[in-house]
Amino acid sequence: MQTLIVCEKPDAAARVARALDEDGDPRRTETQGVPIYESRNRKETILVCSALGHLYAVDSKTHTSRRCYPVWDFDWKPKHLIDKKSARLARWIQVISSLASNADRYINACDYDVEGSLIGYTILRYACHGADSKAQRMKFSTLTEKELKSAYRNLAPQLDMPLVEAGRTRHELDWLYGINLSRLLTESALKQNRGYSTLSTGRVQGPTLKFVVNREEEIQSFTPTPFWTIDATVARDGQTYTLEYEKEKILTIAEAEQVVKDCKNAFLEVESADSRNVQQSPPYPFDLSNLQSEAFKHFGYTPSRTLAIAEKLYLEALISYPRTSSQKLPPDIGYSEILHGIATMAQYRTLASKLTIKDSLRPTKGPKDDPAHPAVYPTGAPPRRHLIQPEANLLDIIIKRFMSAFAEASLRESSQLTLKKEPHRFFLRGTRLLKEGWTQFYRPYTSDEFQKLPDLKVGDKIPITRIKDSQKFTEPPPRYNPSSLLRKMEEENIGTKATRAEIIEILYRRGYIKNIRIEATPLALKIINLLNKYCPLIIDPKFTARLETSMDNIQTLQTSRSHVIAETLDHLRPIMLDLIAREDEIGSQLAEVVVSQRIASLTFDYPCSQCGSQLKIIRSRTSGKRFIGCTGYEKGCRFTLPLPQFGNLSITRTSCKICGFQLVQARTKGRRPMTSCARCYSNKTRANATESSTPAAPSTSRKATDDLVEAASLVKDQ
Amino acid sequence: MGCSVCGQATEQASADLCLTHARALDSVRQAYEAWANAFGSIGRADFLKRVAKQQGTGKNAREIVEFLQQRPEMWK
Repeated sequence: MQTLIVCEKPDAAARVARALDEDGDPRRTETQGVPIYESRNRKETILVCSALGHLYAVDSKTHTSRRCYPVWDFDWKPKHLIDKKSARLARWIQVISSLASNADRYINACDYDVEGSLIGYTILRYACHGADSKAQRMKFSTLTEKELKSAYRNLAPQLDMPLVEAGRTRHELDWLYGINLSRLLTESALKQNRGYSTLSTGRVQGPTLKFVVNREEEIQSFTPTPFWTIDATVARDGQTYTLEYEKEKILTIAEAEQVVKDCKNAFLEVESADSRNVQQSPPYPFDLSNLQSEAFKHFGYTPSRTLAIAEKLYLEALISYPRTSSQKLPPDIGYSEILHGIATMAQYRTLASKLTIKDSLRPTKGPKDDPAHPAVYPTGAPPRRHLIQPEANLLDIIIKRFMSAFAEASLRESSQLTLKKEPHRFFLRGTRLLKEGWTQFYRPYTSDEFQKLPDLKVGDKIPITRIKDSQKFTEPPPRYNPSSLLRKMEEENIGTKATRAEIIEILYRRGYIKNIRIEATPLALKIINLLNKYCPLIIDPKFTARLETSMDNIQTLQTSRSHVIAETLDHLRPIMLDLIAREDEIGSQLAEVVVSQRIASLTFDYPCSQCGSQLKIIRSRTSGKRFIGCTGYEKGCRFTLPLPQFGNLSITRTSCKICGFQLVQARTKGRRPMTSCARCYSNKTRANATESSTPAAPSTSRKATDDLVEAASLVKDQ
Repeated sequence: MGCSVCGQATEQASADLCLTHARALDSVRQAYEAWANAFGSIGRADFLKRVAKQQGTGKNAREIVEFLQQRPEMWK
C-alpha cells in the first residue's frame, strides 16, 4: 500500500517524513527539483511531498486581460497560470500529480487552520485527480516526532470541510473585492495618461487604511491647548520625593498660580496613609497578536517579521504553531515534559526547576480560544543550531511566557500618602514587591520599578521644598505603529490572525503609509476620501467585520459559502457599476496625487552640497542601478551617492545623527527594514578605498541627465 | 468654488473650505475658546501667532492659522 502525504512547506515535509520513518531516516529524492521523502514502516510506504504555500488561486473564469473589470465569474486555477512569478509551481503540481496516480491513500498534513486546510484541499482536488473526497486529515500543533506520530495514528477520516469552505469563501470574497476595486482605481488613474501606478484596495485593506487616514486627519487638524501642572517636592531623611497634585491638568493659569501661591513655603500635613496589597495574575499564554505586540514592544520587530521568525521556530519544532488565537494551554500538550525539556537548557535550568517540582501544574488561561490550536508554547526541545539573535529573542520570550503561566500571582503593596494644605491635596505613591510570583520567570519583559515612601504618619507635617507651575500643551493623538494598528484590526475584527500583518505590509508597499510611526501619504488620503465619497460601505470596518463573522459562521455550519458569495455579489455589483460611471472623475483626482507622490517620494529635502540643487533617486538607464543624483547635472554638477540595490526605497524624514543627511529606508518583504545614510556609507567606502589604495569608485553615469528625466518612473516595486 | 486654503473641491458649492480645512477650522476655533479661558483673555491675533509656533499644531490647522492671519474676517 502506498500513502501520499501532502504538507504545506518542504521543511514540514522533512519533519513529517522523519517522524513516520521506522528508522527516522527517510529516503530523499528530487524530481524536477521538487523534494520527495519516502518513509517506510512494516505496513506501508509513505510518500511525503510538500506544497510551497498555495499552488492554486482564484482567477477570472473567462477574461484573460488583467485590465478588464468588473469581473464576477471566477474559478480556482494553478497559480503559475495566474502569476508569472510563480512559474516554478508548475513543476510542483506536475510532480505531485504523478505521485498521486500511484497512491492508494491520501492525507492532508498541511497546517491545521483555514489556510492549511485549503492548501491541502486544492492540491488533493485539482492535482490529485479528485482525491479530496477520500483523503484523510492529519492534525497537529507542533512538528515534534511524538506529536506527528500520534497525529498519524489518529487520522481524521475525512478533510475538515467547514474549514475548507471558510477558506474558499475568504479567498473568493477577497478576490471579488480586491480585483474589481483595485483594477478600477489603477485603470481609472492610468486612463489619465499620467503614468502607471498599482493602486489597490480590498475588503480588509480599505478599512485598515481608513484607521490610519482617520488618525492622520485628527493629527493634521489638531490645535494644541494650554494646561498647567504643579511640580512640587518634599524632602525627608536626605531623600527628595516628587509630589503629585490632586489635579493632573489645571486648565487656567490663574488657578495654577493660586496653587503655587497658597503652597509656597508651606507645611503639608499628612491627612491619610493608605496601603493595600495588589495581586497580579500571570500574563495569559501567547496568542499570535499578543506575541506580535510583545515582540514589537521589547525588540521592535514588526508583526510580519515576528510571524516570519515564529514560523521558522515552528518548522524547527522549537515552538507550537504560531497562527493561533488561543490563550489556553490544554493539559494534553504535556506540561511537565515541556518544562523538563526547558530545564535542560542552561539559561532556564534554575527557573524551570522551580516549576518541575510542583505537585500540580495549572497554567493561567485567557479568554480567547481557537478550535484548531492551543496558545503558542515552546516544545522544550533545545535548538540544534546556533539561533540568530531575533530567533533567540523570540524563543526566549515564548519560553519565559510559558513558564510564567504556571507560576503564582505576584503580590505588591501599593501605598498612598495624602498630604494637605487646605484646600489643596497632594499625593505620594509608593509600591513594593511582597512576592515575586510569575515576575521572576518573565524578566526582563516585566517592569521591576518600585517606589519607596518616606516614613510619615497621619498628622506629621513636612515642608514643601520646591513648588512651581509648568505650562504645557496638549498633544495630538499618537500615530499607529505596526503593532498598534494590528491590535486595532483585531479589536474591530477585520482580517485574520494570519493575514493582518501582511495587509499592513501591503499598505507600506503601495506607498499608502510610511515610517514606523505610521503616517498616511497624500495618496492614501485621496483614496480613502474618494472611497468614502462614492462607496463608504467598502471601507466601513463594521461591514468587513460582518463578513468576517459570516466566514466564521461557515466554519460552524451556520451558513454556507454559496449564501455568503451571493450576498456579496448583490452588494458589490451596484457599487461597481456606480464607480465605473464616475471613472473619469475618480481617475483625474487619483492621477494628480499619484504623480505628485511619485515625485515627492524620489526627491530629498536636503539640497546638493556642491551646487544646492535638488537631489533625487535615479535609476541608471545603462546599469539599471539606483543612486542619488543631482538635478543640477545639466549645469555641470556631478554629485552622486550610492543606494541599496534591493527592496522598496523610501526617503525618511529622519536625518542622520552623524552627518545630518536624510536617511533612506529599504523595505523587503518579511525582513527588517534597513535604514541607512547614503552619505556616511559613501564616506566610509571612500575611506576604505583610500586605505587599500584602490582607485576611487567611478563617478556619475553620463546618462544621468536622461535618467533624471525618467525619474518619475523610478523606484517602483522591486 | 474651490477651498479658499487649498483650492480643492468643497462639499457644497457655497462652502469656502473643503472638508479637511473645515474640520481644522473647527479645531482652531475650539482651541481659541480653551486658550481664552486658560489665560483669562487673549486676542485672536496673539492666539494665532502662538498656535503657529506650537510643535503639536497639525498641518491643516497650521494652514488655517495662516489663512486666518491673512483673512481675519473668516472667523465669522
